[in-house]
Amino acid sequence: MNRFRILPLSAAAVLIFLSRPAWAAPAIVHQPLLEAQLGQSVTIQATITDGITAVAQVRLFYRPSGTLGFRQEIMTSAGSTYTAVIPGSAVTSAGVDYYLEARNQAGEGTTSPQFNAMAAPHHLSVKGSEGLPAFRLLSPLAGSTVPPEQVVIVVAVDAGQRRLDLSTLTLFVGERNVTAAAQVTATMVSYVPPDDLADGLQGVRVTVRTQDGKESESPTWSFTVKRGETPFAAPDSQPAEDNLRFSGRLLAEVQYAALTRLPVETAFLSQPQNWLNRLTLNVDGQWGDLNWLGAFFLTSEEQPGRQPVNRMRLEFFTQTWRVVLGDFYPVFSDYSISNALIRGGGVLLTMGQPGEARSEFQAVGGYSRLAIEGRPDDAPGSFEQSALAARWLVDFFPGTGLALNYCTLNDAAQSISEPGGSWPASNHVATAEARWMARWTPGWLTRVYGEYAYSYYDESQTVTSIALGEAFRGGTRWEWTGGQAIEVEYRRTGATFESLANPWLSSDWEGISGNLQLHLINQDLVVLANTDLWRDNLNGQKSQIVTDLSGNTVTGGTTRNLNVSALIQARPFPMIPLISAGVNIASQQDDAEPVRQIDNRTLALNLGAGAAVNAGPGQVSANLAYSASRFDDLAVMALSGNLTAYSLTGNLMYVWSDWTWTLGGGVTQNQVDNAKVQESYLLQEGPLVRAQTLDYWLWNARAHWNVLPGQLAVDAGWEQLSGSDDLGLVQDRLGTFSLGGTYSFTPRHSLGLTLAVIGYTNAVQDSRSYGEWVVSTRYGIDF
Amino acid sequence: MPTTMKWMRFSGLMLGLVVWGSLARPTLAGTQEAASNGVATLVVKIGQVEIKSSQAQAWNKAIKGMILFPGDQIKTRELSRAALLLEDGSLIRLNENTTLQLEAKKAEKRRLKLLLGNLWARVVRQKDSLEIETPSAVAAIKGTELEIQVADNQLATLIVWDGLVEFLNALGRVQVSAAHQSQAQAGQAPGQPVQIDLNQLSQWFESVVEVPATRTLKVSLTDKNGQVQNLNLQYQKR
Repeated sequence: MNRFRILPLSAAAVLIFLSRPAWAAPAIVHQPLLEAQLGQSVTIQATITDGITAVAQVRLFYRPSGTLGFRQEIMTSAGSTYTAVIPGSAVTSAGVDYYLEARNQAGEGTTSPQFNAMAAPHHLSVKGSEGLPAFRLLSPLAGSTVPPEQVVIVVAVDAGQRRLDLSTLTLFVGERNVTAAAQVTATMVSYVPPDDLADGLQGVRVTVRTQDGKESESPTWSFTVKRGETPFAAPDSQPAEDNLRFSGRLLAEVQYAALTRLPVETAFLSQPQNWLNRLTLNVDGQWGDLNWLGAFFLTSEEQPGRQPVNRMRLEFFTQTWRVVLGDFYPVFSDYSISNALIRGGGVLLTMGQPGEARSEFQAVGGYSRLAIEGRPDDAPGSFEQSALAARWLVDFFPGTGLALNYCTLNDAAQSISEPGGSWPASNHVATAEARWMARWTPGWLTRVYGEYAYSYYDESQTVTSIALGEAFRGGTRWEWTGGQAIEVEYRRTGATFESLANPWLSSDWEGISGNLQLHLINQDLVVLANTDLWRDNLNGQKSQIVTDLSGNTVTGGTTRNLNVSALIQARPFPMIPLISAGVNIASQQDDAEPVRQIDNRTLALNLGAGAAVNAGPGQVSANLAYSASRFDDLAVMALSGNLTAYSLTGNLMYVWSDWTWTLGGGVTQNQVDNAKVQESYLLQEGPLVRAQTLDYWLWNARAHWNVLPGQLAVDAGWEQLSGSDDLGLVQDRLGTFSLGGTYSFTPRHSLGLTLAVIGYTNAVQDSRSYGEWVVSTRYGIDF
Repeated sequence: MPTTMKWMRFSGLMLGLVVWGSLARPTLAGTQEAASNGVATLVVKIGQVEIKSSQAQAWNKAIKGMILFPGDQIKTRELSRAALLLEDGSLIRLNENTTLQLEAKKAEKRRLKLLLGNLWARVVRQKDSLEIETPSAVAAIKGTELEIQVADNQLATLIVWDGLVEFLNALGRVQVSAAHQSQAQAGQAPGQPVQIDLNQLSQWFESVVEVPATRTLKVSLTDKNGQVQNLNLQYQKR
């Protein structure tokens, strides 16, 4: 049946159904941040698009500048906007290095910065609110390996708001004070070792005192000195000693939460008087050519039979192989395993060097816990499948080659005897891919690709049905500098479903889709446009007879979908960092006779602008967003309406001495106009109304005080959200007050404690009101 | 051809087989220049590279690792090259016969003045942009890779390897994107960007790296008695 679908658009989630082929890398639109406050977490946001070939995973890699090894976070998505947070513990005076990596289902990845992201990541300068100097190792790059003759140590110094006493500046290489042989200025320190440094890991560190007596110290940066192999190296020459490195971060969090009232409706929020335990551990290291990393997130929130919350992953890899154990998203072709979280293991073998002919073999086995369409998520075991998959790829030239994929998914639960349970079924998919790439210049390239898939779905043990499917997709993509691209893609998917037990269920269907995309991106302007046309005969049961909800007998039919969307972002003026405009037009129509079952139109418009002004130690910023959407349903239900939303938010930040104050507020108004809704539908659906205006107000205030800079910081915050409408159907109020602090024993050990009190009142349905208090402690250690 | 070999061919430095000996390297005396803010460090010096400080009239021999200040000029002689690291981490490589002047930061803009020759830059994206001034136009850069040449007749040629650069003077401005070049002649607006094939250009800047001062060559010879004799020859850069 048709459902009333007015799509609420926000500035951050313009509906862009951008599709790209499996072999085209996702596009990352990210405005690199430049500054952060010492010890304060930083939110990294990016717009990442990869349409039909869904983005498999986006990860944020970050590290305090000058330290080895990146830590990583999986970025969470809201539409095409991906977000992750760099914790305050990583925001040291040395700054933060970070980069983003996005991968699609076919394994194509891209990074921001686009080239050499690991070696030359984005750099975030850190301004200490207390004005302590910041240091940055410019040469050699931290974590790099350099031959001894190229070692020139250069450290950049940013004195911040204070003046340095340069006579106290000390440069250490290892434990040796080499200041006497260094050149020191207020902005740079340089040192060339008079003799070659020994092979192996070398550490560099700087200390200085400001003229008002405050001590400041950089982190200890590391780089590796390794003598280059001479072209005439003798077979018996001694190999350089392998460096064993082990580093990581451990964060343990224990939370105790209690609700003052626990109505049934809010049971999902929290268990009463329960411990909520979370442990996060990220470790990585290197031993010679072998790298490893481990990521663990363990929590008491996991519930049996639901999607797993706990995550564990171990990876070992060299340049030629990679082994993964635990929870991971395997990267296969578009028509093979896609977007499936596997708990199991995988191995990837690579032959050949990047940029040359190469071959890859990948095998994966384990359990997948994706929900099966049409079955309830909480049905016992209904979304457990065992999964086996293999992929073999040969590239004759970079971007030109062939690949074969095979995967099989088998229902692991086989819980047909239980309510909502599943029945034995197996699914086999084999696909073949071909691709060709020509790089005309370093900035221009063309890709042509195609994939053919054949699937066999067998439920013959129970309902005696078998489905055979075929699919093809092919397209071409032209890319030029900076991720700009134009792409055309064609897809055709078809299936034959035969049920011996219930012939009336048998059906054929096919879908054809055409897609055109345009990405125009430069530093100050982003244009993303997408057109998608889809046509299928999904309703084409072989009987060709369907009874609709009104009791009419209809035949047919073919459904046509058209979706056009465009997003423009511009940064025209320094004071107005972002202006965005998006539009989305969609239509859906079938050819059912005598009455169309599907016939609707959607038009959505989204406008947004943000402004920020720095004034001395403070900053004022404001965001304005407007979105309007209209939905017209011309089919049997005649559901039509408008939704208009206005949003204005503002923030004021002020830094004074060791205090940082922020004050924010905003209002959002949603106006609903369903004037054309049929009376019968109103009666059926109840809460749907003809006209409604909802207002939401959000206020927040926060104070951050560095009591002992670098050691003790306390934080207090208040947030109030209230919503009401003109019909008296909505009267909500949610208030949160939190008080917390973090004490760092050393720069690498910290302990935090937070107390939060949350109150929610619902004047319309008092049974939904509740109060909650939460105490959480966390302990973090970097090693 | 390996980069090192290209560099060796280019530089024409003599490599002789000599007996192993210690190589004295120039070292920086411990100095503190509190009054001035250093803007760049000389991290690679190949051949004859000279420095003229803002207060001095004469050119002096440059020392690897030395910090340069606003107003300082650096010059590479024939068959010589150099690399500078700016305080924001941007890397500037100078080809032979190039003269560059470092300017103080003004209004949050960093500026270099290329008087003659050829430089390549990988500029770190910053809040404040870097500008490279030539006699005929200015290149305003926000995070990119580019090459600029200034000929004897003051014709400035901008080649953008990656990113986007604004090339401007009093008479006009153009936006130059990757794999494009623009030229500016004194008294004329910068020319419209034209596409170029970067693969056809010399990547001289890739070889602006130090090579080992000494190398060991091990040769195995079979004498007339059939016995293998090992010969270790060590050579050093002169």
